[in-house]
Amino acid sequence: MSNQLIPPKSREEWQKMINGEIQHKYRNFALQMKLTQIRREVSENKMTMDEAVDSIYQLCAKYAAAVKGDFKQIFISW
Amino acid sequence: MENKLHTLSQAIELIKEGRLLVIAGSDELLSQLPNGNWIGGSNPYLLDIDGGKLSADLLYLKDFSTLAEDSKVIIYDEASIDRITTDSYENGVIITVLPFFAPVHKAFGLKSPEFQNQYINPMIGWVSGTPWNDVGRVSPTVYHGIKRFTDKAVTLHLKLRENLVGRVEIINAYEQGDGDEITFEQDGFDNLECLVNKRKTNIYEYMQQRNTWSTPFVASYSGANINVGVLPDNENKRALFAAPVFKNTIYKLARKIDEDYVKVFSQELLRNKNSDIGYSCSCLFNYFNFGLNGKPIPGFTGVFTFGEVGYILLNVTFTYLIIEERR
Repeated sequence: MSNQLIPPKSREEWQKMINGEIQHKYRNFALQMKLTQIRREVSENKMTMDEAVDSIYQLCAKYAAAVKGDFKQIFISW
Repeated sequence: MENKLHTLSQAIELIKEGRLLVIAGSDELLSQLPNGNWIGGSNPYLLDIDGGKLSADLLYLKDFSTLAEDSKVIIYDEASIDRITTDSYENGVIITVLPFFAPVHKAFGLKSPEFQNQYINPMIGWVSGTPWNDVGRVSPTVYHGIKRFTDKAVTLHLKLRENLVGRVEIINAYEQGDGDEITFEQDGFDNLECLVNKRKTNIYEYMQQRNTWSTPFVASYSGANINVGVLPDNENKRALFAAPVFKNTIYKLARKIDEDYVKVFSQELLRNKNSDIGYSCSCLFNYFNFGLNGKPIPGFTGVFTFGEVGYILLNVTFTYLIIEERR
């Protein structure tokens, strides 16, 4: 595992989290709420997928410790 | 400051010491407090160390003096409430109190999911109210010192020290039941109709026929159960929502995870057992639906509210702020 706190933005799992391809029961409340909102905005064409990834990445960078448990299951290693 | 409710004279003393406070209690008590470094709102349903109570004599105070490196209070109305997240400090915490069913409460409920910078800083707070028998008759109030409002959101922005980070979590003692799928064709607080299993249905009649007014609607937000409390307006034969419903969202009538609220609460709290809880509030529906009058929640005092803020407007939820060391 690298010493990056969260996986790099280039990992395809970020997009899969947003489009729902990855079905995961998230634990962190802010992440649950943010994902729901950006899925809605992407589906209504208010936000592009790249903007959505930027947005979710920014949140997770702040809450790196709190989302670590979720990310170990989703990304396995980085 | 001790984890207990305070009398009026104790509260006055703490305000005079210059403490940075958020205060809940009856409007009659709040109106007697001196000017100072505090915000608050009317809410007479309090959680004391010996259980929940409707109190005309006690106040719930939370002291943020030592947590904040800096702070500012900003007053918002329905036109400016969308600035609440962008006004926050870079490493901030937002604590807001809004009066029940005022335009600013409704604007916050409908727009908060899309606020710019939403979810970046923790936002927690509550909706002020009145004794239950006065709902619709007496206006709930909010305060910034001696300034009293019935139509504004008072908001305390805290700047955290660089080594700290805050986040909001919730405990919901409800989950989606197995029943009908309920959806809405538009966002709102007072929709007359919904779609029940895709069939247009009058909401008031639907709830009335099932005699299920105390049961909230529940939607799943990526695993988080988000409740909407439903209130009967019997005079006009319509349903009112204590938080908005949103189109393209599937709701179901809730079921209790367990009849024992304290048990659910304790189990859920274990998820964050090593973290420091900086502030919390719980919904008045929990007080009524789980019989919390006179029932203590060990280790907690607080306020039962007419809606909770956990980033967005929530109902029938325990909302809490965690402050932890940045790792």
